[in-house]
Amino acid sequence: MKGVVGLKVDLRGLSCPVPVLKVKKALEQSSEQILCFIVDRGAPFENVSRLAAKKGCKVESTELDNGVELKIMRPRRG
Amino acid sequence: MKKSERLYIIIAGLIVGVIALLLVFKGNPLNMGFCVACFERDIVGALGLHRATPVQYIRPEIIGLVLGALVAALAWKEFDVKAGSAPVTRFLLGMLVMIGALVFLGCPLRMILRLGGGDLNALVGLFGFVAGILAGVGFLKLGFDLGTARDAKKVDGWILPAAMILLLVLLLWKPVFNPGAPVLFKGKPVVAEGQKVTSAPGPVFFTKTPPTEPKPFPGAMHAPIWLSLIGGFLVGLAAQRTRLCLAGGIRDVALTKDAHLLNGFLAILLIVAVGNLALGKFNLGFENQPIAHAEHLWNFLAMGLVGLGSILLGGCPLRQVILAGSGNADSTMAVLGMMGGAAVAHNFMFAAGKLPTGVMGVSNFGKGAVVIGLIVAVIIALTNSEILAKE
Repeated sequence: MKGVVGLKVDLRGLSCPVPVLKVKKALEQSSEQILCFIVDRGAPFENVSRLAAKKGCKVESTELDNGVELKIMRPRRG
Repeated sequence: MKKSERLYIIIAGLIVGVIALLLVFKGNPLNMGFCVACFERDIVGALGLHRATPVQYIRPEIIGLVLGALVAALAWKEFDVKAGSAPVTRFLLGMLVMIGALVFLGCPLRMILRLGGGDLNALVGLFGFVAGILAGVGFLKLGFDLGTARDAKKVDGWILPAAMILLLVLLLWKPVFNPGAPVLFKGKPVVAEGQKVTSAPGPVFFTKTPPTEPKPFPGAMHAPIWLSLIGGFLVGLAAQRTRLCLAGGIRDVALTKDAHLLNGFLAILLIVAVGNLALGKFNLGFENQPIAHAEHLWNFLAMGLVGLGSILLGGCPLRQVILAGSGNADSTMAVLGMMGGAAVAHNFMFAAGKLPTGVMGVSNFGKGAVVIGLIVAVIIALTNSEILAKE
């Protein structure tokens, strides 16, 4: 998977629903196949995961010391 | 959406509704099993920071909410102490939300409880609340953001829970530091039934209904301490786990068509309406509703202010308390702002209540405060949006 990740944004410390809006915007504007974010545990993690799932993306999460790393993979086209 | 997630938030809504019904059944004022705004206001009054003697009591529900959220956050490793996202702005927004809530007479949670009791003024309030949230969503689309909070020292997140323990001690101990000062109501000494006016409250003040009053004052109506405390604790646990937010539900539907949080909102409304019907307490109409008034424009605008302020803060008053208990120091600032707003709302006569004409309503001071509050909220929204904040 290394090398495909073109974007990695730290969204920790933002109030609801700003992380969700930033991820939504990134999904709409970037053409990367895989997008990577770091979000806070709890609501931001759940909300962003829910949004990504709704958009048909696959989500992989890795717990960090202070937050969660989310790898959002777009559905393959065609 | 994961099915379990949806199930949990519906269960959380049902827990909130059932506990709210139970607390009213056991002594809380009608349609006020829970009210984050009213209860914070009562605590502020109990500490003598406002002089509205009918609404002074250390509400254990708030203590329970904070401690429930704290325990849940610790148990699930979510106690994350963060600070520094526009704390003073959040304090001010908290004040505005409280002023709006006290002109309407309830936070969003009590709005739902009132609606579930048949109070149609709360429906007018709900329309205003939705309008305020939609305005907030508009600002979010313009890039509104109060900035990033950073990791802070752990102790910063422990101060509010510690203060809650202190409040509980004061509630159980009821200390009197100034014996001899008379208990005053409307500037005159109050004689409690069968007692001489010798013992006075202070440093904590608890509402006593004078014997001449036909009905008990709201501050004198409360469920047993342990029940309120446990009820608050359970709701705090459930709300922390499910992220229940009564502004977030409507916001997310408008913003991302995500109805997740709205399920919690609807579950509370449903169970409370069913419960009130079953208990024979459902009273449909605008007039003679408990602790409410029928000034439609001001119910609408006041809840509009609450809705807009809640979106700018990132969550409703309940959610702010829950986040504060989970270590979020910025939400703690919002909660403290709400408490400051409660003192201001009563000292400046903004809060709705009985007018000189004898009916419940909003004073001209209260109307002015809502209008100015809306203007200030819009200024905060614009100055923190990308379109204006570009440097």
